[in-house]
Amino acid sequence: MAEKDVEKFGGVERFFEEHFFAEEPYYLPIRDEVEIFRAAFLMRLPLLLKGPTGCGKTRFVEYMAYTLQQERIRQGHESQDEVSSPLITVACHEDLSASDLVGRYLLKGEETVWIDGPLTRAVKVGAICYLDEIVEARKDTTVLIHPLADYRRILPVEKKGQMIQAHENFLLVISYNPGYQSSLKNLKHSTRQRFIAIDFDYPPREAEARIIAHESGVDARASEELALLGEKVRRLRDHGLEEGVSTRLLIYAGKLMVSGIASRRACELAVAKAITDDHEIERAVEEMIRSIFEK
Amino acid sequence: MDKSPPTVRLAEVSRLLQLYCAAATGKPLRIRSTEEAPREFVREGHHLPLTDGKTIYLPNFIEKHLSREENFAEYKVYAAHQAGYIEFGTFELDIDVVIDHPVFSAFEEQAATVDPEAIVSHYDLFFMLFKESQLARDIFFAIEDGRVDYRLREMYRGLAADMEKVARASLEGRAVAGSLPLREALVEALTRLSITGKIDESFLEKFMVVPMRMNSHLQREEIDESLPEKLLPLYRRICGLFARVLSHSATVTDSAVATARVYLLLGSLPNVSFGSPFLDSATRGTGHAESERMQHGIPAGRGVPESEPLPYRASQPVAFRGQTRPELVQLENAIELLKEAVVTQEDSGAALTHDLLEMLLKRVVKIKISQMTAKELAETSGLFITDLRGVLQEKIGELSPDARKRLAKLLDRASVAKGKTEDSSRVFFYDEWDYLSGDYRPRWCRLREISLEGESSAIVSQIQKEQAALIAAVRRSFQRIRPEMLRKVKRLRSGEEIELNDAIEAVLDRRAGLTPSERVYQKRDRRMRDVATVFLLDLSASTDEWIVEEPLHESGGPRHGGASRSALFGYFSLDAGSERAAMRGNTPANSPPNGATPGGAVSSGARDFSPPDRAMRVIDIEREALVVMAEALESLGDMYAIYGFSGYGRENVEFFVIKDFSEKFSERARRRIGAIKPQKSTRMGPAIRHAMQKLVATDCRLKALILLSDGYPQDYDYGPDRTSRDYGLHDTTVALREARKKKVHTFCVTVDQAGNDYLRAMCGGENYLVVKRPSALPKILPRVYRGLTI
Ligand SMILES: Nc1ncnc2c1ncn2[C@@H]1O[C@H](COP(=O)(O)OP(=O)(O)O)[C@@H](O)[C@H]1O
Ligand SMILES: [Mg+2]
Repeated sequence: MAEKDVEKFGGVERFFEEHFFAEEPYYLPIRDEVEIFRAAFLMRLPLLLKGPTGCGKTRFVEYMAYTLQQERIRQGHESQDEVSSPLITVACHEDLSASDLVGRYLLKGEETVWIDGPLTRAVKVGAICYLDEIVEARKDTTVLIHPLADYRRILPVEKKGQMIQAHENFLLVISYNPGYQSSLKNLKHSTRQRFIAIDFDYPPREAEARIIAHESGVDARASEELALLGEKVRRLRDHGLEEGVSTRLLIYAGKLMVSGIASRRACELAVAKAITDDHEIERAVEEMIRSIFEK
Repeated sequence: MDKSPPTVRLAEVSRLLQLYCAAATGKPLRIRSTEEAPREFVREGHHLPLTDGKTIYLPNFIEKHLSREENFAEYKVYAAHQAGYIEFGTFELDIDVVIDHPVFSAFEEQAATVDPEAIVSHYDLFFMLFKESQLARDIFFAIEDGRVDYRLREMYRGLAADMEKVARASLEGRAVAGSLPLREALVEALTRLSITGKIDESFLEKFMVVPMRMNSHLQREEIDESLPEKLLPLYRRICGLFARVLSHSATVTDSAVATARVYLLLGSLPNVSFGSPFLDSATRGTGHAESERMQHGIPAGRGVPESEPLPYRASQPVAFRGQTRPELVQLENAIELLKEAVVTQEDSGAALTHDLLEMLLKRVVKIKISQMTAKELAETSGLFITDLRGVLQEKIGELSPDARKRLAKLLDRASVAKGKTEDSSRVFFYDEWDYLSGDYRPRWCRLREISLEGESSAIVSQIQKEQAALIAAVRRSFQRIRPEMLRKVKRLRSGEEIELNDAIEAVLDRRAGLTPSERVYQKRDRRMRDVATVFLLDLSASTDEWIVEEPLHESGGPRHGGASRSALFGYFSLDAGSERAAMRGNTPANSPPNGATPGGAVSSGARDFSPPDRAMRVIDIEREALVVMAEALESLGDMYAIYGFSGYGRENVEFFVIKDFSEKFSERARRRIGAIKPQKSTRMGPAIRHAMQKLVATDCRLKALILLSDGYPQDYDYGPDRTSRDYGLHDTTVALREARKKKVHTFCVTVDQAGNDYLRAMCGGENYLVVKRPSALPKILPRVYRGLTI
């Protein structure tokens, strides 16, 4: 989640990412999410992706953004040569304010220049804007989200005294993890009520094995074992483990294996130690690892 | 017992194994010592592992091997096998499915003799199909255990290595098949095969009719060469039947079918010893044509053996597979469902009828039940299974099936929604921490939310009048502390300091020719207090007791001595921990409590006195304190709720709503405060957990839970030992810890003078206070509140 959060970029801290895809992002559909997204996009209905961290929400949005843009290009609605970014993602954090999303004036010599924020850019160029972990952001951001997320589809830019009508290909997608911060922060009902919600969870074992194999490059057997480990470990959620183990971590374990680390050791590092500080739970996960993997 | 270092004791590894099994099966299984196993489950003596479907019983220690690793691995294999029954569906045997298989046409005669009135499980019925039921059992377990182990080895390739070692070791000390009478010899050969789980591929190819998956390479040595040459064809057929369950897709039904087939094969043999001349005639003609016939369950006609058949003796148990009795597990599961149904129907006020029970039981057990009231069922739930059978049997007969539809619905709810709580009925289930096993007992406590209605708010008005001065003082003191709050508010037009980011933005705006925002100041917040607090009130019977305090002016010398320090603070008997906690957030200057009158901390928890002048019971003081608190909080504007709790037994935890977060301190809430009265026991864990749910739902930034009590947690079934408080204390400790994990500030205030003994551990350090003079509680509580929420 935090890999790309903040990057130095021209003296401005970058907290968002504009995606250009050289090829189709790999995404294995789990249920009917692709059709739902398509339908929602058709009707320009904003989406809320609910689910634990590392279960494929971001990857899904990337895939959808790419696919929908490719279709537009194929149908001649968009030109092949001057493709704009189909997706802008923002990792929300507790200091993220409305002006971070909309934009602000910056000093350039004696001049001031207006720089669009990621949301404004998406609204203008017609990208999908993905606000990851929206509840983390400051409350003033809801002022922006609400008019964008209902029939009006407008973005108020207070500083410039403007209202921007969203590009027809703009779509707002937000994500929310009801699990881990539920006791601290909940999504406001007034916000929730504006979005179609798609539930995400970790993929079922077979699908997850395929994903792991694809993403990490481990062989079929190891990826099946990793997926099995994922399934087993997630069952400890009722026994003191806060979150299960993410698909992401299982992929990391796979990558360690590919680079020559023994399976058990790779899982110890990427799974057992990564997910918990409770010694007994860690031990139990390690025993499960030892049971599943031969070496 | 613990004489050599490599010994591994169950106590050291039980939580680990418990978590392991939970991960493996997805079920909250407990780990216990075999010594604690219910009597009726134990067949073979106390050392063999077993499960009743909810708990896995393992030996107290293992010291077979020279290293701890190996001894632990042995434990793990034991636990994995028992968990494997659950993981791979052993207890899901359904006689209705099994009996549909053609092979059972051979058992029709025997089936007709089965008493339909008996209360039995699917397994009981299954074994009743066989005349020689012990033989059938031995065959079944050899096959089913083999299937479970096969699935384990296939799923857990790492564990397979440990299993292999344990399995090999278990072969030692078993009888040589060739030394046993015929049937026993073949059963033993089958058992050995099942233990190793390895079948020679080449000979199976020759004898197998159905193709199958091999789980291992050729293992010449597994062929039991102790069997006489002439029995080999029969043995190979048995091998072939067994091999069919060694498959990813085989289920317990397949094991049952294979059992019937093997039984038919063996049933055709008399149990004579090998030396018998019968052997020649018995094995003659087990060629191909005949085997087809036998496959379909038609026993071949045989000559009468010349030597006397010996009675069949049960097969020697396989230690690592244990002695689980699936028929009893099925019954246990049924009872579990029954109990739940009873609970559910109690809440909805419907009667438990014949139909309901029968539908319920059809899923798990074949039981013919008759009328039985909820109460009777509830009473039997604590009894041994055998007794339940008796009760059920007695009740067979007379019944009037009434509200069918309603009950059918109820049933669905009870059996489907095991893990869900029913919002509408306001019944909640909470786990309880069992320190003896080091894990939660899932859904152990049933808590009912009751809204307490009162008739008059007169008591409250009276308190308001009597305590008007105190209420005013507390309000003032709350106002004084408000500016100290740390929360910053930004974007103000004027304020204490300039907020850099906003200021820069304003400068830029001006440069850009925009009207810059003037809102560049920040200050500490006055308005943004975002606090929610639960006052959780112990309403146990003991709060009915009178409190006698000596008047303050007589307190020249403290009765219990050592009060010099308390004198400083007036009302407190503070040990170091509680003192700091209570004072947290206050500068020394405003430390003394409002209206503090220095005096001795003389008090008396004296009980059973007749009411003296101005005598108050604990509950009256609790009430007084709450009224003062509520009045002050109303002016501060913080969110707060008041709940009381009591109950009797884990099924009956009562949670009284006196004032919810969403309510004002209304006339109605005042009446409810007036109505609080001493109730029954003090099961703190579930009450705390429920209060937590409420707190979390407020979504406030700062959450606090203040527990007001007069003694340690206690309930008649709060732990296995009624006389020990340890269990209740541990559960409460864990409940409070859970709360703190969710970022809730917890604090316990007690008037129990013995509180220091246990509160430090229970409250996780310094978050508690023992009030020496209970009558000072109304003054102390606001201070505690202030300390907690700043
Ligand atoms: N259905 C899926 N198809 C393809 N990859 C997936 C899928 N689910 C998870 N992943 C993998 O898991 C990783 C983590 O997923 P991500 O989308 O970043 O999670 P989230 O946004 O939910 O936190 C991705 O990088 C991807 O490799
Ligand atoms: Mg993500």
